[in-house]
Amino acid sequence: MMMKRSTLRTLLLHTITVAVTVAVTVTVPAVPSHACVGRKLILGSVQTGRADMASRLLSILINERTGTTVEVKFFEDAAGLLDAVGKGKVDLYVDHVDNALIRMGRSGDSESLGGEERFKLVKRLFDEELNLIWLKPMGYSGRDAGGASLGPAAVVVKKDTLKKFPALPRLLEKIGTRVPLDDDRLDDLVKRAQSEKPARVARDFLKEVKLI
Amino acid sequence: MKGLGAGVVAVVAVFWSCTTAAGSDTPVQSVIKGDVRWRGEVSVDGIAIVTREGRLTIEAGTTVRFLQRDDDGDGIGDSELRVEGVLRVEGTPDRPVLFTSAAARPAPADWKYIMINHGRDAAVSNAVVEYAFSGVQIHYTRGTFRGLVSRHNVDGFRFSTAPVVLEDSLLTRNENGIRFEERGAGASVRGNIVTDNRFGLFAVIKCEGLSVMENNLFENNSEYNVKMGERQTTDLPLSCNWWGTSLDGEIRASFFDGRMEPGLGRVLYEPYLKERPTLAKSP
Repeated sequence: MMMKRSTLRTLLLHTITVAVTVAVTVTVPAVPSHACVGRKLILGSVQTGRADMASRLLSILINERTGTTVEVKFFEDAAGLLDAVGKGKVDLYVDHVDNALIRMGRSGDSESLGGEERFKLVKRLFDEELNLIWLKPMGYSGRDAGGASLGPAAVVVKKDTLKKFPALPRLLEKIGTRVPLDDDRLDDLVKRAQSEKPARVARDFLKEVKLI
Repeated sequence: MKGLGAGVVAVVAVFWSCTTAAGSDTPVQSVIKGDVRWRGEVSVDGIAIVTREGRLTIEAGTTVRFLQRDDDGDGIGDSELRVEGVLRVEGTPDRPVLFTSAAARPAPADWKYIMINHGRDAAVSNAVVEYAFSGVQIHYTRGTFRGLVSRHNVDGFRFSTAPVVLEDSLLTRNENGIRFEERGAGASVRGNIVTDNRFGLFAVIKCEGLSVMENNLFENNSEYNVKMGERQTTDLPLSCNWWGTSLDGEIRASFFDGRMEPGLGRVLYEPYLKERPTLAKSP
């Protein structure tokens, strides 16, 4: 009887295995997936030509040099972007010194300061009050819709993000120190992007200056 | 006879649970805990997991199609095969196992990857992996891959902290043919063709020369044959490979390493093969 049960069990298991293997189609059920593809950064940007190009340069530089996937999230306007920054939904974005000081209510204090002092002030305020770190300026100045200057542009990164990605400052500050991205240079890239794919323009530029 | 009947019912039940789970509010993952074999046509919609105690064997000639879905909206497909137990892929040269996108017009990153992470073992023979984010990713697992063709992915073959063997394989038309981080584990990478990728070999970080990578063919990779990651500061021994030319200057120009970017490690490519070797796989 024991032998029969054992034989029956073996036969049953064998039958299950065979039945599965001869199946023509096996459909594995759907399940939401949130598994990561490795580390990923969210870069926030508004959709103007200059901001778009700056974001592409940064995202390509990060991805090419570190292998980290960078998702660029575009916002309709600066208010939407800054709201997402405030909620911690983006890891890094490009901000502008003078505009940031106005938002912090410190434009009056900083009027008498030189450019370097204003940068130091905004860097300190963001670090202390917002847990955001300003990297060194990239070389160009932001402009509002009317063309007025918003001050020097620089990458701003969440402090938590820098703990996970300690190589970011050294890498991103190459734009601005080793390869200054001044207004003329950025405008030229934006112009080229009107007739070529912007990503291609950004990638070609980074390769031309040997950053990738 | 009762046993046979019960067996058939059990299988039907498996299919029933699969099909209903797909449309339910609380979907159930497909979890492989026992010894399971796949053959014929297999569709994966979501995540198929081979658990630590599970063993999945895929027979020669099988086609596994990953349905396109992007649950988190990041542009990368979310269907995947995740292995924590044992994976056996038993393709033959004439009847390889195909892992591909189910999309009518497939593109890279339609699905996520075959991810072997803290697995018990992996042995893959004669498989084609295409249109994934990473064709194969293996971490913290011993694995042997022979006769692998990985194409049209972002990463063709990616490993970290894994003493893998990759031989007689073809990595082509990916962003990165091979991407790796040693992190203390040496791999054996020999006799492979790495061609027509943007980057042939991407040494991301913490590669310390523990791996043996020789008698491979790196050519026609559009950006660089070898790229060092931003924090890859150690030199990388890569002698006895073919670099698409026998001209020393052209070989060096195909590396993004310390010669181009101060602070990065250098590719130690000498001595190098002066003639193109004949290898098992051809594009």
